[in-house]
Amino acid sequence: MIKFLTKGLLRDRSRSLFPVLVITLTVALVVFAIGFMRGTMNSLFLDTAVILTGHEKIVTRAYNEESQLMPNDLALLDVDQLIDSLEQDYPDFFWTPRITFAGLLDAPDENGETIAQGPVIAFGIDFLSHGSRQVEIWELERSLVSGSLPENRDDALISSKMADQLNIRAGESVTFIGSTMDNAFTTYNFNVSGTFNLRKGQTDKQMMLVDLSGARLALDMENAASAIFGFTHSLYYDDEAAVNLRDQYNKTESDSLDVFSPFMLALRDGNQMGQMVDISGAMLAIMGGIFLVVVMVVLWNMGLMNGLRRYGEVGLRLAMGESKGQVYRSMISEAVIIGLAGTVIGTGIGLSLTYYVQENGIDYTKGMEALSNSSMVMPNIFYAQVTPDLFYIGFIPGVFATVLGTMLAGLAIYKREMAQLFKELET
Amino acid sequence: MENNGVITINNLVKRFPVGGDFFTALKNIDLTLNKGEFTGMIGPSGSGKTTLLNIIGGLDSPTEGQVSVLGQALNDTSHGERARLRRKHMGFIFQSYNLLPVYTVFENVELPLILNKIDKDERRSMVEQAIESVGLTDKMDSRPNMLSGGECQRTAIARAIVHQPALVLADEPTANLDAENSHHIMKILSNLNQELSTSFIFATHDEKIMAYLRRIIHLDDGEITEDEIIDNPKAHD
Ligand SMILES: Nc1ncnc2c1ncn2[C@@H]1O[C@H](COP(=O)(O)OP(=O)(O)OP(=O)(O)O)[C@@H](O)[C@H]1O
Ligand SMILES: [Mg+2]
Repeated sequence: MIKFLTKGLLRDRSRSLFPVLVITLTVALVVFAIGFMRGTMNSLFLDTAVILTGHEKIVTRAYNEESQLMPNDLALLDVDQLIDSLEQDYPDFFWTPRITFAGLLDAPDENGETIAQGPVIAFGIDFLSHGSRQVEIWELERSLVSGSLPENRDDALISSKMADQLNIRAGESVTFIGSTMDNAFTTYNFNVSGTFNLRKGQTDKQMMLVDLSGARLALDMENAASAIFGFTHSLYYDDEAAVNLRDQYNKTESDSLDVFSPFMLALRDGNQMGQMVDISGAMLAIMGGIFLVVVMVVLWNMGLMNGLRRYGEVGLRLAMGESKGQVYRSMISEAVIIGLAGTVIGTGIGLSLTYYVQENGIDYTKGMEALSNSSMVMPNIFYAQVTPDLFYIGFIPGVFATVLGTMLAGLAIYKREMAQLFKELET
Repeated sequence: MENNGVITINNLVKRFPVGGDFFTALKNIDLTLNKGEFTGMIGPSGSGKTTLLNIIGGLDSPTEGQVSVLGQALNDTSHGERARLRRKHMGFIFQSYNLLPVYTVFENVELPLILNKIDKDERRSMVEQAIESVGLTDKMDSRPNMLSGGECQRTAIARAIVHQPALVLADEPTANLDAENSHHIMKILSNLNQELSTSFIFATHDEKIMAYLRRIIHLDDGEITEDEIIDNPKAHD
């Protein structure tokens, strides 16, 4: 009988091919849509995290109070030891020091005479140490406009906007003018190894990126840092985990009476970021929920219709002496097989698509130019994100809803008098 | 117990709930059918023919009275037992053929044998024989949508008799067919009746069928009004 039914199933495309196609498409859409929404939200966060906040950020309590002033006199000390213990205690994250400083950038001619001068915001980032992921998370290879990535202590990248403004080209040297950690006047020469464009609106207008070691030398900050940033290895921001870690860390490692003790901030603690995280989380849940419900109704209906369409066959098989249970079970098994086939293929397609967009992104540069004034750093390339739940979420509509629809249609077999089914067969 | 009784019905009443009330579709039915009969139930539309056929087939249950088919009292049997009775010993023919469109003639006829778990080689010879007896050997591998109405009904007949049931129930088997095909069908059925000693019972108002019947039970308004035995059916050859 199984062979007989399989033969029928394969021949009747309206029972096999079409439902599988519909389920495949729907499931692929669900998986991709959710992955894409997740990824988009996450890339919004990731840009902010990379430039300003990390997924977690550790500063001294005093620095936190006045962080807008970039008060490097309140910086963290003994940073290497701090990072060693962080790597050990919180291995789900990778930890990296950051020096944030501001001053003037001076572009001299061959004789050292100033040609142009402008304000600069500089980040001392650990590009050069072994195993550093900073070039990767800053996406510098893609953002490089001219020249090359920093290779030496005194190399610097400056944004192409600032390079144009100050008329600086890769290969030239610039002088940073500012103050050290101890508020002493300092000048320091950097070699401009290249220029970059983050393509995130005005964010990088006055930005210079230098290696941490150069920044330390320039500001006299040996083994010190403005902050230590922590990122998850997957770069996916999980708010709940981040908040738990921050609470736990501050309880055990931070001393509220010592203004120089380290203090951890989660991404959501940054300027307005908490609201963003909450709103996007709620939006995701609502949109994902509505989407799932709609799709479930569609597939539930398809299961129901497919079942109802077969009353004739059911009546006939009952008349020929199959028991109700047998007919019911065979309908359900068929729905499970169709549902599984469609869901597995659909999940495969959805995940591949999500993965592709996760790796390559969808460029959206033009539309973003207009919207770049909140403290939020807007992305111009949207990424999707493959998360573990995408592997099973498709089964809810694909198998569960389809089978439920079929079960409901099949239930009528039990409810209805057999003679009635039989009569429907006559019409 | 009943040596020759294929169907025994005593005091049958069938009421359908309609709204808050009941509609009496059959009443005071007493009937005995013997082995090998070729019997028709005749009556106007709504007289209860299909209802009675359904009860005999175990597809519907009586409100009152006893119905015994092939030695089994249907009142005492479970759904499963009635299903088994249909599977092993009954065949059905419908007005609208009810062939499964995705299967070939051969496969449609094969279905009752698959349900009865008959093994493949035996199945093949039984199916071929049944198809031959309705003259469709050359259409064995066709799908129903390639067949004429008469050919469809002949396929349905082959399906109804392939497992050599004791009883075949046919509800208006010729209603969708033209005169020539109706006669063809009735000749086939009447031959099968004689060869296989299978009992046939028809529900019909088709004059052409009546010419072949050897017993006619008249139903009117849910009651048997006349029970005629015909010794020499007109169309008998
Ligand atoms: N499930 C049901 N519920 C209510 N009434 C029913 C039901 N089935 C049949 N009836 C009624 O019982 C009566 C007999 O119906 P039945 O189908 O047996 O007639 P019939 O003799 O086969 O008619 P036809 O020649 O039109 O097929 C009809 O009046 C019909 O409306
Ligand atoms: Mg009828």
